[in-house]
Formats: sequence, C-alpha cells, structure tokens
Amino acid sequence: MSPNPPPRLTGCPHKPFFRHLLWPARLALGLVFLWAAWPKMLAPNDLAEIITGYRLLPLWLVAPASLLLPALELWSALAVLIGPRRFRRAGAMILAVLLLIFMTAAAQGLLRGLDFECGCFGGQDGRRPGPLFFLEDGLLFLAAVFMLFQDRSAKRDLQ
Amino acid sequence: MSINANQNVPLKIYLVVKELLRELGRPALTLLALAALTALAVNSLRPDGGLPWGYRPGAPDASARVTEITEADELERLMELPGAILLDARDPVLFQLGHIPKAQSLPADELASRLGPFLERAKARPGQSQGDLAPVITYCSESLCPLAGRLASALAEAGLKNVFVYVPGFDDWLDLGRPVEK
Repeated sequence: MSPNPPPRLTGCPHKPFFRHLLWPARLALGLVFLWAAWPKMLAPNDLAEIITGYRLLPLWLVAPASLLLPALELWSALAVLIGPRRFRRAGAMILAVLLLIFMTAAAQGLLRGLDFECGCFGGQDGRRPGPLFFLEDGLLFLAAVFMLFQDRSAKRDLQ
Repeated sequence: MSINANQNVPLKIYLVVKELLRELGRPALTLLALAALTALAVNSLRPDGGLPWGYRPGAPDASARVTEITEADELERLMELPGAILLDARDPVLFQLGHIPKAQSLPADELASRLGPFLERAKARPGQSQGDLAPVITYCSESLCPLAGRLASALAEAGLKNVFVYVPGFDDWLDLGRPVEK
C-alpha cells in the first residue's frame, strides 16, 4: 500500500454542497468589485480626496494609490469572473487583502473620530462607513477566502 | 508539508500564507502589473490631463486663476483692501462655532444653490468698480481640506477676479493665536 500523500494546507476535500456555493461567491465578488471599480476609475480626483480623508497615507502616495486601486479592483474582479483557476484564486487573494485594508482603514478612521467618506463605490456620495459597511465587506471577505480555499481542481486534491 | 496538530495557530497561519504566496504569487503579480499599466495608460489618456503625481487636495484647478497664500499677515493685508470678502467654505455649524473675523459663510457643499445670489452681491460691492481690485479670499479648516480650493475655483470660473485661497485654514489661524469671531 502506498503511503498517504501529505494533506494540503490550503485545500479542503470537496464536499458537493460547498462546491455549489462557488459560483455565487465568484459572481458576488466579481460583480461588486466591477461595479465599485468603474466610477473610481472615471473620477480619480474624487477618489484622491476620499483617500486623503482617511488620513492614513502620506500625501505623495495618495495619487499612485488613487490610480492603482480601481485598476487593481477591475483586473481582480475580471480574473475572479472569467479567469482560469489560478488567476481566479489570485484575484480572490488580492480582493481579500484589499477588503482587509478597507475595513482596517475605516475602523481606524472611526476610532480616531475622523470626518471621512467611505468612497466605496467612488464619487462623493456622502456615505460614512457604519455597521452595514463592515457587514458587506465582512461577507465579501468571507466569499474571497472561501474561493481561495475551495476553488481548486478535484484532480489535484486527489494527487 | 504536513501540519502537526500541536502546532500553534500563528505558525499555521504563516505556513498557509506562505503556501498561498508560493502557489499564487506569480498570477497575483501579473494582475498587479496589469493594473499598474492600466492605471498609467488611463491616466495619461484622460482629456483633463489626469491626476497629477504631486496631488494635493484642494489645490485649485490649473486652469482657474486663483492665488494661494500661506501667511496670516498676507490675509490681513488683503482684508484691508476696500470691498474685500472673506469666505468660510466649511460646514455652517463649524462657522457658527468660530471663524476668522469678518468672514461670511459660503459652504462649498451648498455652492449650487448659493453661488448665484453671492455673485450678484460680490459684483455690486464698492471695490469691484475700482479696477477689479477687491479680493475674494476663501479658507477651510486646514491645508488638506479640499473645500476652499473647490470654492475658489468655482468663483474664478464664474468670472470673479482676484480670488485667493488662504491655504493653512482656520486651524492654523487658531494656532497662531489670532482673534476668532462667533
């Protein structure tokens, strides 16, 4: 009898029920971030004002961040929606990191009592991060982590 | 690599992240590179010239003829000119709590409804007939606040001459121990 292969750290055996949740997770992540990236990309000045409002980045980093963030959201969302498996998971990994950054940035802003806008979907919509923001971002984060660990080929797991 | 049940949680997390990076590092870097190229391309193709690398919130539009001043003494000198107007671009509540003496409240957020009536008054004031010398100065809470620059750009675009922004704003005025009106 051949020895058992070592268990993977980042993989779980595929249970059918969980696999059915992969598509909803991909669609939710991909569509929300496509929807969020587009207005930010069209109005980088508004986004730069919003990023400044979080009082986290030094001023010289605000312009590069305002330009890179929507493009990164766009490419990661596209990868999650239509990319091959490795790119789908890489997109989900990037989005999970971005969501962690968003939640941390909003939490520090609230703790410091700053008057700032979420800017989650671009523009100056006057929306302040509240419980709903953390719920939405928390759920999207779970979807991204779920994709990261579940969207694997069954074949590789059996190796 | 196998995980021993006795291993602690931080070590487990470290190992998982390490494996994810080994597996997905290359596609993730590819996505990052694509994003950087897209960001550069989109910004350089924007008809308005794109977001400047030396971005500063509240910097007036390059096309608007607005002068930025940074000294409180300069602000006081301008205010001595006949017909000078000082505008507080902050929220009206903050204005009521305290503002620079002689300032009027014109919140940048309410510009759409209040610009018209203000311009009529501004163009009728005494200094305006003397060679457009009377200045209009805007200020906000501090140098990172974008409202003063936004208000000044709108005023200059609406045809006012001699529009200034007092960049350091009200907080600096307070720090300098200057008088405050309520």
